Amino acid sequence: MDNIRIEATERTPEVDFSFEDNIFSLRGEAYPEDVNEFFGPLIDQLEEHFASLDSAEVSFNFELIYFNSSTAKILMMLFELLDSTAGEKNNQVTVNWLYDADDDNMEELGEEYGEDLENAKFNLVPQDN
Amino acid sequence: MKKFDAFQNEQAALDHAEALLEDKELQCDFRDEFEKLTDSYKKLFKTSRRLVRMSDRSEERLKDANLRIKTQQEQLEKAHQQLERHAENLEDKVRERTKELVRAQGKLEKLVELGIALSAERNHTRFIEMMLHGAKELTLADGGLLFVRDDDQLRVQLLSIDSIDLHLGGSTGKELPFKPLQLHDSDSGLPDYYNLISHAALTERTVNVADILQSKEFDFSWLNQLGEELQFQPQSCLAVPLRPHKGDVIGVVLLINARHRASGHTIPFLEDIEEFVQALASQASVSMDNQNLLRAQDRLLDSIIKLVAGAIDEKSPYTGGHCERVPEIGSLLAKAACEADEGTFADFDMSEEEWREFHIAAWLHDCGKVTTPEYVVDKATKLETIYNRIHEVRMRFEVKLRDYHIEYLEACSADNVDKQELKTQLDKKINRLKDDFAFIAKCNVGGEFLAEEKIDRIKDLGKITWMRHFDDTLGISDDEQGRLRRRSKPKLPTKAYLLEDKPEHVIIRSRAVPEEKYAKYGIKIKAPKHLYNYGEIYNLSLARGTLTDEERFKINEHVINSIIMLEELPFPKSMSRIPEFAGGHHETMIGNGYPRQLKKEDMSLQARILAIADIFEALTASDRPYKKAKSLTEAIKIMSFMRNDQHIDDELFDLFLTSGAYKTYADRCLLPEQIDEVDISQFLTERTSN
Repeated sequence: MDNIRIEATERTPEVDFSFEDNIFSLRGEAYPEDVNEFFGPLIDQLEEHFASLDSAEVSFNFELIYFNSSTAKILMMLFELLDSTAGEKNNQVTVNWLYDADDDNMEELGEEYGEDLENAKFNLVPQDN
Repeated sequence: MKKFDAFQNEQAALDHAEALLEDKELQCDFRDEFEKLTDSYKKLFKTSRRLVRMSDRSEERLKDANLRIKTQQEQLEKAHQQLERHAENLEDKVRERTKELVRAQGKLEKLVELGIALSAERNHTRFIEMMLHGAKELTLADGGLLFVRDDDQLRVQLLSIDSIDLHLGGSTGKELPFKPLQLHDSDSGLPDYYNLISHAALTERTVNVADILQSKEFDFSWLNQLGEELQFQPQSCLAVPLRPHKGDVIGVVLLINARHRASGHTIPFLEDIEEFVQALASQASVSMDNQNLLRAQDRLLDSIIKLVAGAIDEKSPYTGGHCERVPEIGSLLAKAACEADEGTFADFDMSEEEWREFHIAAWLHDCGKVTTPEYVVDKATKLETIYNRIHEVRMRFEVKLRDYHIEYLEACSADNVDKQELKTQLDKKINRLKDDFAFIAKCNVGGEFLAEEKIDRIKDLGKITWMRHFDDTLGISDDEQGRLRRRSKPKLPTKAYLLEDKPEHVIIRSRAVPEEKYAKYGIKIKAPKHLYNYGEIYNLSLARGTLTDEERFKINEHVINSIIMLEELPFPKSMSRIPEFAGGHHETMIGNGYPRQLKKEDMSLQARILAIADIFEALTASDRPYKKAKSLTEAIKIMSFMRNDQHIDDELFDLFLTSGAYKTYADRCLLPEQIDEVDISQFLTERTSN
């Protein structure tokens, strides 16, 4: 599967998916006009790819500054996907939540999302700027 | 492929459950399905909750943000208003300042204008008027007074008060009936700091009084009196001292009652105006000082010119007064030419400077005469000249010799005479005559000493007579004529003497010695009664040199005249010692010199230096007709004797030698044959070591 690299825009994050290395990251702000249109294809591809994994090491980095409610739902889907991937076929999944150390809101959100994960490893990573 | 939807999983679960419900016949594991649905519900629940929480939080933040925005908006409004106010303020201030600057600029321009005008104004009256009116204009003052310092007094020289239209002094020609102010109390000698005007002069600082009716700082009695006399009320005052840079205070400008630009009411003098007036005062003082200096220079020049002209007039008894009177005649004619308004001279005119030019030319037109010998200028007859009268005396001896011959021949023609005897007597007489003449001739040459017997012999020779057959009043000048009138004209032939002191030999003083002036300047020489005495016996009997007392005095008179002439020149303060320096070169250290019999302590160093210079020059001069030029050693030796006699300053003499000054001069100005090696150690003053 081809790697995905999408430049960040005003409302959409930078997408950096390396299917070869199984290193994925979403960076920036996420409040696309049409959540389904933007994230849809990405989620689909991720689903397809993860399904094919066996004993793989996956790393997913979230480095989001801001996201709207719709994106929040998508993230929930993502976390669910990642967690289920971690539970299957001996896959090792690590999720890193990078946030600005001063951003209490992001910290809280990270904590909440992190709680959802049972199989995947979760790291809260505060960034000092 | 179904289109992606964020809630696609939830939708799927619901769809699945609904499908089951619809299918009434389907037999499924409801428990299982129920569990699945419950799971989905839980998830959805969690999702909902999270989203609601997120939403709440978002809204919270939004509300905060809105609040902040609102507050910031208000603040911005306030700031904006403040800014507007500030901007207005600034504009106002700038407008104010610009106005002030423009005004100040105007004042500065005026000041510069005034300064230029002042420095160009040569006429003193116009100058001070310009300055006072300039100061009044600058400060919008109603009144102004100019005080000029005169030793310890301040005299009012100008007064100008607009509100009562009173202008005195200067070009108005009106008198200023005000008593001068004393800077120091006449009894105690203490400086008067209480009167604000003298205060300004004494402290050399500007005094600004806002209202004299309210102020207790100074004594305003003088001003109040002035106000009473002139019927106006002085209220605000500014007293500015006039002081050229680094000089003494030469006056004070007093400005009274500054007026408000618009209303015209009397207001205090503002501080910023003080600087302008001070600048004006400073410029004026410098100009005034310059004028004074220029005037002093002019006066000195005038005096020196008159001195030269006077000296020329003094020298000649005949043309005396000429140099003084030509300028008068010249002026009258020049004035006529200037005043002529038709004809050739209509366009001719002379400015002040050109008058001065003409004036000086008239005074100095004969200045070269200083160099002409009087005997040439005054030559009254063709054969008149300076003459050694030994030739005339010798002629009388010649006459006497012929008389003896004639006597002899007449005696020979008689009967019964011993011709031989007569011849012997004749020879004896002639030899004695020749001997006598040789003696007289020798006496004629000046020596150091003449014995009593010799003087007696001269007198005896004078008694020898001869007969004069010719009229001695023919071919003589009017001046000689005048002197001869003193004696009665004898009948010819008449007895004459071999040597005679004739009455006409005595030249009396036509101008008396100015005893008062002599006394004033400390001159202690007694002048001989007569101007000259040409008596033959009188002159031949001179024991020392060739000069009679009268002639010696005449020569020494040069020092007296130098002193008087120099004392009467208006030298500036920096040159006031010139008469003293120049007048001491014939004095000694112990008071036996002339003309003032000064002692060493009475004389300045410079005077004593000039004495040594004068003597050394005289001793080493190689161009005197009656003295052989001395060598350096001889001259210094003589000076050392003078030092021993305390005639000259011993320390200065030593310095003259040790510094080599004598040698430098010798190399420069003496003949090579005069210059010899001098062993100065021989001549230095012996100092007793204590």
